[in-house]
Order: sequence, then C-alpha cells, then structure tokens
Amino acid sequence: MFQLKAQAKVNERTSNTPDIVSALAPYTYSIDQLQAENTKLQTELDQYQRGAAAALLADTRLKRTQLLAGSVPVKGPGLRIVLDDSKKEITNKEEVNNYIIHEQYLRKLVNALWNSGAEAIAINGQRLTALTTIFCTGTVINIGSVAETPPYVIEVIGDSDKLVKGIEFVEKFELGLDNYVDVYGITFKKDIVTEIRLPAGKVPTFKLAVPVKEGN
Amino acid sequence: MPLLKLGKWALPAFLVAIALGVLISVQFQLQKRVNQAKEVNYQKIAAVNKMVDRAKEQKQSLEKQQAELEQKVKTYRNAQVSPEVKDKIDTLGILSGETPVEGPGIHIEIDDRKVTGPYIVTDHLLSIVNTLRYAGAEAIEVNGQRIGPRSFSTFSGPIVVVNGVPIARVDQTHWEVEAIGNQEVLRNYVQTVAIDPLLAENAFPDLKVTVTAQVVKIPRLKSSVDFVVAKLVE
Repeated sequence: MFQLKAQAKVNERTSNTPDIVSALAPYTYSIDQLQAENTKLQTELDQYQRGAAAALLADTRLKRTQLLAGSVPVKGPGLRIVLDDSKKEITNKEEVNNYIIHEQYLRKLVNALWNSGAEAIAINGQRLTALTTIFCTGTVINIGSVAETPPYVIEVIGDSDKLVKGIEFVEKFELGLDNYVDVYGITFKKDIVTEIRLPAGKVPTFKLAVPVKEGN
Repeated sequence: MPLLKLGKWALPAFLVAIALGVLISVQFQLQKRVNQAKEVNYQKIAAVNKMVDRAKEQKQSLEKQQAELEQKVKTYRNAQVSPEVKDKIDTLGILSGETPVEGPGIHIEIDDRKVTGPYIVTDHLLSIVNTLRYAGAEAIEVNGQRIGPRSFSTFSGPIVVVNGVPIARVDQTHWEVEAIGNQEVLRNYVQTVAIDPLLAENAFPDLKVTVTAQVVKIPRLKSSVDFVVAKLVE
C-alpha cells in the first residue's frame, strides 16, 4: 500500500512536466509563417535589386492579389460535391431536419476543403471570398448576397485526392452524412473533375475599412 | 548473548527487526526515486523554458528582419508604379487580406477559461465569423489572425488553429474577435444570432462575453498561400 502510494507520487511528479508541444506550438508555427513571408519579401527585393522594373513586379503582385482575393475567374482540376434535400415523403414531422441540407453542412465542408488545400471554391456558381457568408434564412441558404435553394453544388479547385481525404472526417464523423443518405435519402455525391471553371467573386465597395497608413 | 537472553521472544524480535529493516530500506529507496523524479521534472521544466525562450528570441529576430525587408521592398514598390495600380492593389488587398486595415467596428471578447469542458470550439468561432460576414463586415480577425479567403479553423490536439497558426488552447480560451463595419448592424447581428444562443446554452454557464463598438485595426493576412493547380482564365 505504502509502496503504491509512493509510486503514484513518482508518476505524478513525472507526468506534471510541461507539454513541450503545446508550449512551443505558438512560436514554431509563427516562426514557420515568418520565415515563409521573409523568403517571399527577400525574393521580391532581390528581383528589384537585379534591376527588375517596379511596374512589371507591380503587375505580378496585382495578378496574385486578384487570384487570392477571388476577383478573377479561375480554372483547374478538383472536386464537385452535390448536396440535395431528400425526395422521400416525410412521415414524422419532428424529423424534418433530417431530410434537408443545412448551412452547417456547407460551412463545415467548406472549412475542411480550405484546410485540405483548396485553392478556389464556389457554391452554386457563387465564388467564395474572404467576406462570403453561408447563412440560412428560412428555406434558402444565402451564399454571399444570393439566396440559393437546393441542390447545392460545391465546386473546388485543388488536389482532388487531398480534398477527398480532407473532408472524410467531417463527412463521416462530424456530420454523419452517410447516415442521412442511407436512412433519410438526402443526396451527397462527390466527383473528381479534370477541369472546373469558377467565376470571379464579387468585390464589395469598402466604405469603412481603409488601408493602414505607412508608419502606423 | 542478548539474543539468547530474550528466550522465546528471540525469533519474533528477529523477524520484526528484519521487517523494519526492509521497510526502512524500501522507504529510503522510494524517497530517493521521488527526489530523482522531482529533479528530472525540474530539469524538464528548465529545458522547456529554455526552448520557449529561444523560440521567442527567434520570433522577435524574424519580426525585426521582416520589418526591415518590408521597408526596403516598399521603397521599390512605390517607385515607378502608377497611383492607380497601387490603389487597385490596396483595395483588392482588403479583400485578399493582404492590406492591413482600420476603421469603425466592434471588438468581441469571449472568456471561456475553465478547467473542464465543454469549451467554445471552432464551430462557434465559424458561426461568429459567418454572422459578421452576413452583417456586412469588411474585414475580420480572430486572436490576431486576419480571416482571409482561404482561412480555416481547426484543431490540433487541444489547440485551436486558424490559418495554420495555433491561436488558443481550448481550455484557456480567451477569444478576441474584431470586425470593421457598421457598428450597430454588426453588434445586433452577432449578439442575436451568435452570442445570445451561446449564452442561453446550459453548457456555458460562466461564459463572459462583451461586445464593444470601437475603432479597430486589423492586421494583414500572415499565411503564405500559393496557387499550384488553379490558373487564371484569360
């Protein structure tokens, strides 16, 4: 008994050591992020110092910013996901939510797709930008400012294998979509596509946000 | 001989002595192990602290290097570039998250620090961000990370990650969300759609949330994203 208590004390002492990964994580990731950014800045600086024209590099920057902002149409391989409400007759009105597609299905799938390296996404032809909402209002889901009804078609450009693997956890465990397909008859389909074309996203008029002045 | 004088108590006394000896020896050994474990623990804490200090120093040095590089690059960028192109990059940069911005908006503070769960997690975070977007936010940040076009929120063990960067531990969460936009509209929507339902849940009895209208400054997107397969449609 005495020995067990003492052993527990020894174990407690050794298990109370700080979690190295947790303690270091905020720094290591920030360091990775800073190193990547600094490399990019250094490359740009080298180009200027080698005599590259500022106007030419500005054009390259503009194109990259347009791509990142989602303000230009893009094409590439990827994945097409279709979600649709069930066509089955609803026998139990309390279960009506099991037969329809909810905003959180779209939101969680989109979040998982970005996490899996998606480069551009559109839902029902509405390109997603940093400010696009996926918001349910009654029987429709607003994708940005456009009210969309089912079926919801998510088109994604990216490495299709990574995208398929990346949404597996959300699809199977977080949302349990297989169950809703089998039991309630909703549609959830994924197809790998060799070329997807996505339209440009809407660029809002910025009325209140202004660039921070240099030196601030 | 003293042992012989004990007579019939000789054997029990001998056994008790042996048992005491064993117990003292075990106690001594265990105390030694406890002390060793303590020592190992102190050494580990010291080693981790040293690693954290080193990482902090490296981060500060990289930040300094970045500020210097940015300054040099800006000088070149501003030369020979028409104000129209510069304005276009700045405006689109607000949408892409590459331009740091300031303006009137709201500051949301959520204090969810507690010993046991449930905790405010990525789903709640996504709901708040989504509501701010619906309410017309022009720029959003969460715990210092600008929400960009390809931002995502996920878990890495107990750590909440945004843009690939850990921003909080689930059990020590102190969320600070800022957004630029119409202050009344942002506040009303986020309060009604995202915060009130959270406060109404029995799961979060001690949750503290404050929403204040103020001028906010939102940093630029720090994540370095690339386009590998997506090509511009000419």
